[in-house]
Amino acid sequence: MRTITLIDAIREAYQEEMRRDEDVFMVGQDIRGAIFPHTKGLVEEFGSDRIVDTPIAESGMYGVALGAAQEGMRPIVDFMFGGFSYVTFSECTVTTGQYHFLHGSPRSLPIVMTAGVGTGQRLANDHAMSIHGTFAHHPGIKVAMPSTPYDAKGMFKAAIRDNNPVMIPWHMGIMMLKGDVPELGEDYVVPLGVADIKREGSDVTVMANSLQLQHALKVADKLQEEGISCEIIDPRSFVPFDLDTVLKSLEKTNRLVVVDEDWESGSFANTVSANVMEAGFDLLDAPVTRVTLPNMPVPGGYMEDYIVPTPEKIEAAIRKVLA
Amino acid sequence: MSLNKKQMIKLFTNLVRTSHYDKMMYRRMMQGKLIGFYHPAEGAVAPGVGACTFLKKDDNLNPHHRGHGIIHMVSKGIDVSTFLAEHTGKETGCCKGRSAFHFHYPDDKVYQQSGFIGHNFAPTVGWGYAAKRRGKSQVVMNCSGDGSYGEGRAHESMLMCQNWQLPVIFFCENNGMAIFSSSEEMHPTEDISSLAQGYGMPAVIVDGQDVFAVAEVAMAAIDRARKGKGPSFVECKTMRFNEHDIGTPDLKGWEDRSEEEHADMRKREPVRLATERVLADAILTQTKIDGIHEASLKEIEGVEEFADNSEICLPSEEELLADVFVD
Amino acid sequence: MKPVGIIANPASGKDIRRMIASGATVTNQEKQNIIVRILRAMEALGARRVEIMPDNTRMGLRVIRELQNELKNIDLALLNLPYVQGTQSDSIRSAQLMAEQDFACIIVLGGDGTCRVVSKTCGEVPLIPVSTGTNNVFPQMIEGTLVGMAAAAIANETVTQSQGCDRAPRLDLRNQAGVVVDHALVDLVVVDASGIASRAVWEPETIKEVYLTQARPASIGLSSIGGQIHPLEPMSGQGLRIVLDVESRNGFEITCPIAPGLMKTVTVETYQTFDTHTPQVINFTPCAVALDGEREVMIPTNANYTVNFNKHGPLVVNIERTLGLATKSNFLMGKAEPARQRSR
Repeated sequence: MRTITLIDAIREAYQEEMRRDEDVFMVGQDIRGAIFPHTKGLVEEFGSDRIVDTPIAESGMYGVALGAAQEGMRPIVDFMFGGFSYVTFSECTVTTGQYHFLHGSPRSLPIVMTAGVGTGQRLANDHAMSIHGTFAHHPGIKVAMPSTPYDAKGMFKAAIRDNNPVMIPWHMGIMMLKGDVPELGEDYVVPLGVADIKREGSDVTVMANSLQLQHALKVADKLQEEGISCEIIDPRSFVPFDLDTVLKSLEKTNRLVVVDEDWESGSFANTVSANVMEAGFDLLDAPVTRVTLPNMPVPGGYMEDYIVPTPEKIEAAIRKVLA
Repeated sequence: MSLNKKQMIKLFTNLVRTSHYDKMMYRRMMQGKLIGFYHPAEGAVAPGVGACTFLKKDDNLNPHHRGHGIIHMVSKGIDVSTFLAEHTGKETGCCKGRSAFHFHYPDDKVYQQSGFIGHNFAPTVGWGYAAKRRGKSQVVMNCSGDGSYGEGRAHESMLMCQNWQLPVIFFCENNGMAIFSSSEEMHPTEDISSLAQGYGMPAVIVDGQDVFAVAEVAMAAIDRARKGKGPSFVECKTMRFNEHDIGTPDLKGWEDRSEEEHADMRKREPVRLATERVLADAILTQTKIDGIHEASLKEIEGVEEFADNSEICLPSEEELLADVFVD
Repeated sequence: MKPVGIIANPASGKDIRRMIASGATVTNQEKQNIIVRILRAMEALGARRVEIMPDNTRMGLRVIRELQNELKNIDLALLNLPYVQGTQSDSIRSAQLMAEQDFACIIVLGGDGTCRVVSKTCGEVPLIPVSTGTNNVFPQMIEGTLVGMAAAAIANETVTQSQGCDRAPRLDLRNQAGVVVDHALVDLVVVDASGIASRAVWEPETIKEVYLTQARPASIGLSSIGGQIHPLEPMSGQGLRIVLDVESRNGFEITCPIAPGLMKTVTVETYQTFDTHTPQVINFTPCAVALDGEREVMIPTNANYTVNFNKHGPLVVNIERTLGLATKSNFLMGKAEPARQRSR
């Protein structure tokens, strides 16, 4: 095992998959110069033909991926910031999601979409929004987000090998998070659609991902001192979603807090809450409680702190569900 | 290359075939034997025939939505019996009957028909990229109307195709109308192809009612792209004889299109013009021409029979849900 | 004062030569700008009525909209053409109407082909041909403002027709019955082609016979073939016939600019001059005949068509001479606003 950062883990996934398969390539804006370090050094190894910088034209940029995937190639599209995917939203959600299904499924679109997302940089709404919930709303696209360097490398490799379109953003707040990954040359993948119990516990189940997972783990440490045992589940994938792992945990804890760094309205937290209610109502001793962003655009500057799910908010939710 | 006699006969034959296909679709829509809607192509069949008759199987094609692509696909040599089956919701349809008008012929390099006008432009860049990356001599024939050039995507696509010198033909079938809106109101210049100049792309305007003129220009553009000389722009000035789609009023802006406009347009019906041409130039005799019409009608009869004799496709919800993702 | 007509071909400067050679593109926006410059000059120098051919791209209408509040002293209108077809018939019928209504002159914006179709019906109304491309011999590449000045001088008869105009020759194509089916102003070329299609001629191996009214070494296009072997001035009173044959054993090769950016080698079998009294028989049949660069007429096998040199082509305004004569008659004096008035 080695210890590397999450962003380096993502880069290793790109490198290994691009070496393995000539048809894998990346398209984005300023990825050669590596505006985020996950693409650092890639152009030197793979050249400008495979690390493709486009003009500031998101539809055309996504079109490179869409058309090339239709031609049987395996593109990775980097939107830079998650919000920028909205500029070509119809292509990357509607057109992409319906392609396989609507055509009677003779061909699929093996496109990987990625972007930096999340709050914490005080950049305000369009540079801070989450996109996993919105993409999960559209049928036909897998959606996942890693929380650790190990998961990041394994999930990105799985996404690139997947024959379906996959949106796999990464949270800017844990970009430099360090963690153990297998030695170079040791090929592994983390399959999409499998949740991971990041901490076992018995009193309450907390579902959290990415930066929020880190917060939840801290809260669990703190509550442990009071004798409250939290089971922390990282869904890892939103589509497909591993509901079984959550239900199994609820058999033990009977209480669920869903932390989701996304607006309350129409969020993935709502989907989980409804799923649990429908499939596991008898397991619940308390209403499912959500920690989400209030329905206002993410403010920039210091006001960002008001709306972000913090450890304090997560702790309060846990206490509420246990009350 | 300028056209030879054999090529002229092939073009004429495709023109006759496709215009009968279009009439068949129109008739079936009126008879209630077609699912969804139909955007008739009458008056505007020559551009598609000219653009696609000499494409190779490996060339990418985005067909114009008018005629729901049937003009372009028949001309490219695609067997469209599964197209009609699809348009009638049958399980033998090219998309198992679930797509309505969103056909898909991946083996013939027709990947999509988007319900969003102008959504051909973005993947066009990707097709061109793939062709160039793989060093194949395939070209991309990207057909769409004047209205679609209002989309920002059109401009992004021209920008990137020209930047990278991709083998793409921007083939604009300008009938001057986008649903009810006239091109005159919606574009600051009459010629859509003048956009190409801003991107440093060569552009040609051709009489879209003359299938032979269109084909010669299309062949020059295809040849240019195949030789790696980059993208080009072809604008066909054409016409739309009917309403936008069957059942909508035939308006210009918010007023009826005039009788005079219709009468003037029909003087330049492409099949009639081509027939006069091949007779005058002794390319075909009237007997041969009659034979081409007969053969086309017979071919279409077969296509209709195939669709009509196929079963309606109604799988269970579970089966459909299992098809959202590929394994 | 007689009205001045403007026929601007909306399709010129955009044909297949943009694709196969590197021909310049002239957008209709630019043609409109040229018309605007012409009109400003005409108004300043006292022309009173101008009619513009309506076309399917509405250039004339756009110009009128642009200028209606600016040019108060000129009566600017679209020609009353019953219907616009979007083909060369618009130019033909417009020129005919202008001739019937005894216009002072017709300004033609287009190329050799546009001038040819206008000259079919313009009768004795002189033309001012203005090139809107680079592939032209007959029309001049000249600034629109100067064109407007010359047109005004002709319209208000500061310079008379006989002073300012030259008579251009033409080549008549006669069928077996001796009827003139069409004509060319510069070049008539026999092409081995099955149809008219995109009209242009760019493959040298398909060119079989070339007939010219002029052949200058500094010309672009098919007449350059003659320009290389037997230069002939436009008003020489003679035509030039050249027979090409790729297979020829006695012939010689020359390389010439048959289109902008397109240097091609052809093999000349024979060439000779001819005049009004010596009709030339087209030997290569079946063929397409290209008139001023555009395939127009198909000739069937063994049909006996002839090419005849005709000195009575259209009248053409010589802009340089016209403006020279206008200056001598103080045409331009006192037309500008006096300086004192301006400073007030």
